Amino acid sequence: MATATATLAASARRRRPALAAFRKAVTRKPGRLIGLIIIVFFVLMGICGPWFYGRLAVDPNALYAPPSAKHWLGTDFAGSDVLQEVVTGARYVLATAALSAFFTSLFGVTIGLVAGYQRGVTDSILMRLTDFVLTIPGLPLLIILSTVWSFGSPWQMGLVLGITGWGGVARAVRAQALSLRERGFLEAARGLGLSRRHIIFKEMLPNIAPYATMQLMLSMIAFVGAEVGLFFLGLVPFSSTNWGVMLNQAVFSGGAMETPDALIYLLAPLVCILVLTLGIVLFLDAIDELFNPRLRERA
Amino acid sequence: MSEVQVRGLTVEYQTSAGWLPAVAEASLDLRAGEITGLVGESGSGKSTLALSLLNAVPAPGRIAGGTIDVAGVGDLTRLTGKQLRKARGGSIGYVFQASQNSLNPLKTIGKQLLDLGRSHEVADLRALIARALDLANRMGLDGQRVLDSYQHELSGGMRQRIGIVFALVLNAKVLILDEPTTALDMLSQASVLEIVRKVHDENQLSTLIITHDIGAISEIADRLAVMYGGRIVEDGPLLEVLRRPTHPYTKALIGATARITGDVEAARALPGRPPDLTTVARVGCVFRDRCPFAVAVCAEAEPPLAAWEGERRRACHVEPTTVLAGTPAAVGEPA
Repeated sequence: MATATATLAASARRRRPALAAFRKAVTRKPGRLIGLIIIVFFVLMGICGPWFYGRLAVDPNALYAPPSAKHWLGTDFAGSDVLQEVVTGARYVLATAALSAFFTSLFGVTIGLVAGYQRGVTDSILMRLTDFVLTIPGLPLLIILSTVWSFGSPWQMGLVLGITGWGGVARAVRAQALSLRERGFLEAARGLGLSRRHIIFKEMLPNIAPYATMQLMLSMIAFVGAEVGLFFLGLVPFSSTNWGVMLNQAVFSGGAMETPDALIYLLAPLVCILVLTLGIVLFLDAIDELFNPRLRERA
Repeated sequence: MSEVQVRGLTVEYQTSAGWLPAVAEASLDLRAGEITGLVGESGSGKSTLALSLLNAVPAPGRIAGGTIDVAGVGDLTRLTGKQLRKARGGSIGYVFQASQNSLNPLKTIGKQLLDLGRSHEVADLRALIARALDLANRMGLDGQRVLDSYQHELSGGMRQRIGIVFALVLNAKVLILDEPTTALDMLSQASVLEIVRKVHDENQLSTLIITHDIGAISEIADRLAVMYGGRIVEDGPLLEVLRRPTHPYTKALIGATARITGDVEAARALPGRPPDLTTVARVGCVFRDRCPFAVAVCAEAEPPLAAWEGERRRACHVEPTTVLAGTPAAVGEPA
């Protein structure tokens, strides 16, 4: 008994799984670290940014002012500070993308795993549901819904984008689950009498976790693009400032395509999206190692 | 006393030609303290029979008839859901074919052991770990190190032994090993078999070893059952069956074994090919096409598995003495 206790304690000390693995995987290559720093920077911007600014200050005497000490990135059509708009607009964009990606992964991974593992009738029902979701045209649905909702809160936009977006993930995860369920260790798990829930969520899920996490992060990029695009096209009414609204205003009100005045106003949100994408792509490299102990060991 | 009684077990697979039996009317006893070897060619239904002992025949298969009575559990074919889950691992320990691959690559062995304990609602996980350490140490593993390892840090033979630890750690009294020595080198094979014998003796288990290697099984088994075309064609105490095979197939199988000493040419390959699900004879004896002793009645009626000489059973129309005398020249005498 004493030896058993000692083993458990020792293993806890020696492995310290999550944190140590995370640090090791991220610091192995500088690109990953840069990616993580970029992601953390934007997350902090989304959370804390608005705390530093009050309501958007409007300065009617300085429309489309060039960068200056007072306005680092110049001002917009109403004389508001562009930097302030970028920072305060980040919260809505990032929260929406995160929520959409979360819902996509939650529904997609769960439904894909259950369908792939159970097969049979459950599989058929879930996959018909998936086919249905895959065929919902997202854009028209958003336009119709915008007559009812204002999409002022990230929850509404995130929910709609997420609920219409999980079909592809479910299909891909199901394909992986079908292959995974035939692997020796899952056969053994069934033979040893482990419960179905344990097998699906404790044995299969960790094995597709790298894929699911990459999917989650890549879909964040896609959802940032999608929502910014919707606002840019003016398909949804905007009640608050965000990056998409800025692009829309810069092009359609500021004439950024014709005059250089509104150029910075146009470029600021675009550069933000670009840098965020870069951060996510750089960080993706570390994900396989986060979950696979074998890759972690390679020097 | 029989720990497991299989009676009239029929397992069918759905094919384009309808439901076809992979195991037909199999009856088998696993007795406490005895190792039973189940031998047969690929596709003879050995693994299907073994999986049905867990009531885990994969789709598109099903247990079509018969009973599997396990001491303390009841008829396994009628169990479902949680009861069945408890019986697997709890009453019957199963070591899978290629059990080197039976471990989750992402978790340490100790973590997987705890998962197993929690899934079976073991109250004292410390005792479970202690028991696993004890089992591992008795199998010649460094238990502490092994529990802290991932599967890729262990060798094939070690993983095989871990598979046995997992099968026994919940105090299962029945141990089933499906091809335990396949994919291991000769030395690992010998040590795994030795360990199985040792663990078996120490815990008074009822063990079933499924293999196609009649040489390996003859080292450790007490009883031998021979399968062909989904039927058990002969069984009995190991030495009696090996010395005096009374079924033409058993005789041919033993005659086909190459030996380290003696003339290699003495080993005779069995002519023809083993039947599969679709080509196996529906009427008459399944072995008659390859049988040098076949007579007219073999094509008409399937021989029943009947008792013979005390503990032995055989399913053959031909008189045992004729087979023992071994007149047909096609079948080599065992060296």
